[in-house]
Amino acid sequence: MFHPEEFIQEYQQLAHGTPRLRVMKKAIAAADEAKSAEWQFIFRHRYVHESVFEGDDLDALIVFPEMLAVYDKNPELAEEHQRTLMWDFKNILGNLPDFSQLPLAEIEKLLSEFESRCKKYGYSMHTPRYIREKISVLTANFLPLSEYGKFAEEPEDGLKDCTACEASFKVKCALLRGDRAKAEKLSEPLFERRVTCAEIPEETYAHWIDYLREHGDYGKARQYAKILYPMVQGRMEILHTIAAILRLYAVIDHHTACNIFRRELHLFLDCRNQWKRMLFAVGAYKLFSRMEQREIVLLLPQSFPLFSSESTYDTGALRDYFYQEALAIAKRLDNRNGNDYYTTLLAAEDPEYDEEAVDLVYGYAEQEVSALAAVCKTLPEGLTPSAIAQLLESDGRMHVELMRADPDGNILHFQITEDDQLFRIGMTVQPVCPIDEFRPVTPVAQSVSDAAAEAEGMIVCVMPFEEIQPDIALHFQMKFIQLICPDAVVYLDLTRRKLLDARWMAMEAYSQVPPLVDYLYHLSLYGGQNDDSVWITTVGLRCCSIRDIEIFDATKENFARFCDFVCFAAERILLRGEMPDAGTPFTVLRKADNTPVVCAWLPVSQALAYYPENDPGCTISRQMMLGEDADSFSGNAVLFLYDGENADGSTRLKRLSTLTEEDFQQFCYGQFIATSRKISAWAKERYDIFLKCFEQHPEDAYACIHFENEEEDEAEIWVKVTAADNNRIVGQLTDDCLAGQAGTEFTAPAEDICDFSLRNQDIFVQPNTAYLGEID
Amino acid sequence: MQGFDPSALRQAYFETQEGEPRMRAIRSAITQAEQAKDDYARLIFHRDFIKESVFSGDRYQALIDFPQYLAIYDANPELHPQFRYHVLWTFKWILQAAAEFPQIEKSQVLRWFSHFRSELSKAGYSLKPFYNLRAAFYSYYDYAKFLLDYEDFQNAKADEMSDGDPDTYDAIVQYELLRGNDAAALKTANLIFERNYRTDEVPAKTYSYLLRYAMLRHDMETAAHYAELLRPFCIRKRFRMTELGLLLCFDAKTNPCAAYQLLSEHEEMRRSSRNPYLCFWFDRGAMMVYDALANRQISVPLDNGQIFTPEDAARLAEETRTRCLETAALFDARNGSDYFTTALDELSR
Repeated sequence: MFHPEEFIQEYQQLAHGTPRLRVMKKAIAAADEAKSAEWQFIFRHRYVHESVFEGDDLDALIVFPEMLAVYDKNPELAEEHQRTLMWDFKNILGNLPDFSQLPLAEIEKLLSEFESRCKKYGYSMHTPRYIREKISVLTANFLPLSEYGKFAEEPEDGLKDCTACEASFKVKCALLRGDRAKAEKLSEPLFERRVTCAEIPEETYAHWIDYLREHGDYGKARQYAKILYPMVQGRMEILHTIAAILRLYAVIDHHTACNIFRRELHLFLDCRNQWKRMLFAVGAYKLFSRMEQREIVLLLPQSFPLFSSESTYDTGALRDYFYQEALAIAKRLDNRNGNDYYTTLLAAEDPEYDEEAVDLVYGYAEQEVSALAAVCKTLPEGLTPSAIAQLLESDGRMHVELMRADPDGNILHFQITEDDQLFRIGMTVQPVCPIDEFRPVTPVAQSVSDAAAEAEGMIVCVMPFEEIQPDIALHFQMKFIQLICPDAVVYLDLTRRKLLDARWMAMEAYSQVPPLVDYLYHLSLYGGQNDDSVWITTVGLRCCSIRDIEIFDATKENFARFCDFVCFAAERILLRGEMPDAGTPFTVLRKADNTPVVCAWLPVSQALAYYPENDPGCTISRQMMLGEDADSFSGNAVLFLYDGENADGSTRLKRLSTLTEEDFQQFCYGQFIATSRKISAWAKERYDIFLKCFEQHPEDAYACIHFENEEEDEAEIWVKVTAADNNRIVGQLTDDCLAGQAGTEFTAPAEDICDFSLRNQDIFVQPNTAYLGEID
Repeated sequence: MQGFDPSALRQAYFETQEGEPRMRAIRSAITQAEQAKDDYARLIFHRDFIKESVFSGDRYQALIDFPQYLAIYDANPELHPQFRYHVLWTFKWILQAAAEFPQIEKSQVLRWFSHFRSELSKAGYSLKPFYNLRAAFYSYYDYAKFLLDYEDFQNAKADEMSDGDPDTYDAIVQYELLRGNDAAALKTANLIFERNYRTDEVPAKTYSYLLRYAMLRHDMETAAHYAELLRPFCIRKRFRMTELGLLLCFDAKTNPCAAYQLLSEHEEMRRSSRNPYLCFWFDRGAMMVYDALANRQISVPLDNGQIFTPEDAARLAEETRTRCLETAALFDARNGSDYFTTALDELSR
């Protein structure tokens, strides 16, 4: 007996795409055998839907005619399923041009059939006109540009694409007409996510990336690509949007392009949608034809026709392979379409990209690698790739995917996965550099400095963060180097000029919690020799693809204030993962009366206009200090206060020197939620150290507890601890708060701890520096 | 029409007592709007009428009135931008209420669903509420289609036409229990409880689903837990008659005397209700109470000094069962299944 629910329950357990399609095919066969017209229709509809929205559309094209036949043969289906039929018909039509084996005449025939059914079933011509416009674009048989968008003149009905899809198509039409301003206006609600759907704004960003690339606006294109890629990774059904990103990075950033190629190649290999395959192949061809290096190391699927077990590929062979793939499909599509649009697309050159030009508009900066070093009293022996791989594997947290040594054996390269994330890391040995140039982030004993001075050398580990969340990337790098060199005397953050205690590093390497964002940069201060100025700059933000931030208005009197200010600004930017464009206001913090303190930045070259000779801030001493190196800092971001807009709409800025001491006192820094959460996680993770320290030094121990009252108001309250064990913390409230008045006795479960601070002479043991609690 | 003042009429009827009195006042306003040929006012008044019937009446009048409301809307496309949002929300109430009245043919309900879907699409809204409401309707007669709609409901994006988190989670609890996924249901229910969500339906309905599920598995300890949580939400609440019926089923098994007390307190409310769906579930509980008293030969002293005997209970059990069977037959005939007939004794075993 036929039980449709059994098939449904079976395929609902499976991943989308091929696994589900297989069971749906069985369901269709069962419904056919049972001669259940309704379920013959329903399962075919589900199959078509799965193929269109989770696959490469080909299966939908094959099954849809059957679905149409079932519907026409069984008029009783009309009442409940007519709309479903027409929606699937619409979705099928939109994908027909992707397949060259379908002649234009056949596409036209199906489109006419669709129009005819719309009229018959009482639908307007809104959707048929919309589909016609889309097909004309895909087949490059363009209508007069003024005709695009006219579908909107027809009455809307229940068959129209969603608002987001139609809006995105209007963006495409505007870009086709070269009306950038209109396209920007139409894109606003999509990019602000006020109007979205399953594939919008992904498609919209892809339209823009192609347009901007073709017009040489690489900065903006890159900005959009950065937003788009996380949204489209691994999505077969919109492989063409990935292709747009790949094509862009093929011009501007081969390294990122290779990562995207490596990650998404499996989609290309599995995709039977010719149009999407072709676009990916074009992107890959462009990438490998522009690469100068002859060989490249890539971890690629075994199903790749050029697969190499050594993971080493000739870029020329890759270029040729993808060129042939793209050309074959382009020719077929062009033959079918009766033009040369796609072969021209393949041959088209991109506008010149000046790699040396400093992009002064966007907050994004070319990423620099992160370098950590382990200073070793005695360098470890037998540091070969296989020995290191064995060490990592035995630890169990990491898996080595690839390893090799440079021909001279001086640099070892690894590709390692941890929690499904791939990290690329290089290792080499170098002499120890003077450690007094590095700022200790936690107290370091003199004996450490002495030991470092006598160390044999240092193992340097270099790693690009790529698109990995920076704190997670840095955490991995710390885990790696600590695992390789557990007995290091001390660790040096060569990029951020920090000195990291070995015990701190050991604790951090085995913590579940990534380091605070503070560790992603360093604050350098340089006092003017002949004046009162202090130049403050961050160092290390470029590892996170963000410009370093400078302050030109600090003085020897107020520099500490500005240090807090720039740290807060940096943290905010890091937690957001992006820096706004030059001149774009962003709120850094709020004052006590809740008014925002809004800043904007300018590149150094433009910022200098605000610093005349008679009021130069630190610019003169900065220039003297940097000398010929000043150019390499020209892309940094100088902070200003946002002062509204001029009459012409341009941003008005004022110098930070306009801030008074009274202003600074009003600033409410607080803590970002992400930072609080990390500290809270450490507090719980290192509670045993807290207990041990408390036992030894009970007189000066404080704990912060997350408290919730009966009205479900929440607060974090500090108590002076008087007793503590594995289950509870007892103490006295330090201040009047939600839990009561200062001095009141208070008991809380130990699991509610979210911060602690114990004082041992001059040392404070806190969650981030809990290793100090393990020192006698 | 001279003297026709829609605002004044509206103010006047909102000052009237809710329920039947207000609905009569709104009816009068509708008539005046028809005479004045003011479709704008008619749309407002019809919507107010429907809303009053749904939230303060028995909902049946809403179902009768709705086609007129829809017809006025369809006939005035220039008013669509202003009224679309309200029409769509009204549609949601209607589709929910339609399941409660077997007089509304299944084909009519399904046509309303199609119309609702079409209007949602036209307005650019997600189909999430459509799938949710239709899944609920399908759950009475077509498990396979329920599964499909539930999956589509989960995948559809939420927007301003969708229910908020509390009601969405509540629906998920109900549907996961229907699928036999009690772990997933409980996980979602705990979100409701931890976040202390409160709406017209939540958490009363959530507790009721869990109570029923526990009773079906004969886990009376868990059932007792949910019964006690549910109880305060139901006492003398006319739209909680389904849940009251469930509590009667539970009390009938655990404390028939207390069950009879609960039943007696709500008899008047039951008598005044003309909603067959609510009455069915309440009557089922009443039937179990009478059965328990009869089978266990329990006499209950009444306030007037008389005794409610086991024989009285047996007679009323028989009468209530007959009434339940008739109602169940109506629902099952409309839906084309045996859901209600089967439900009658599902908790008795």
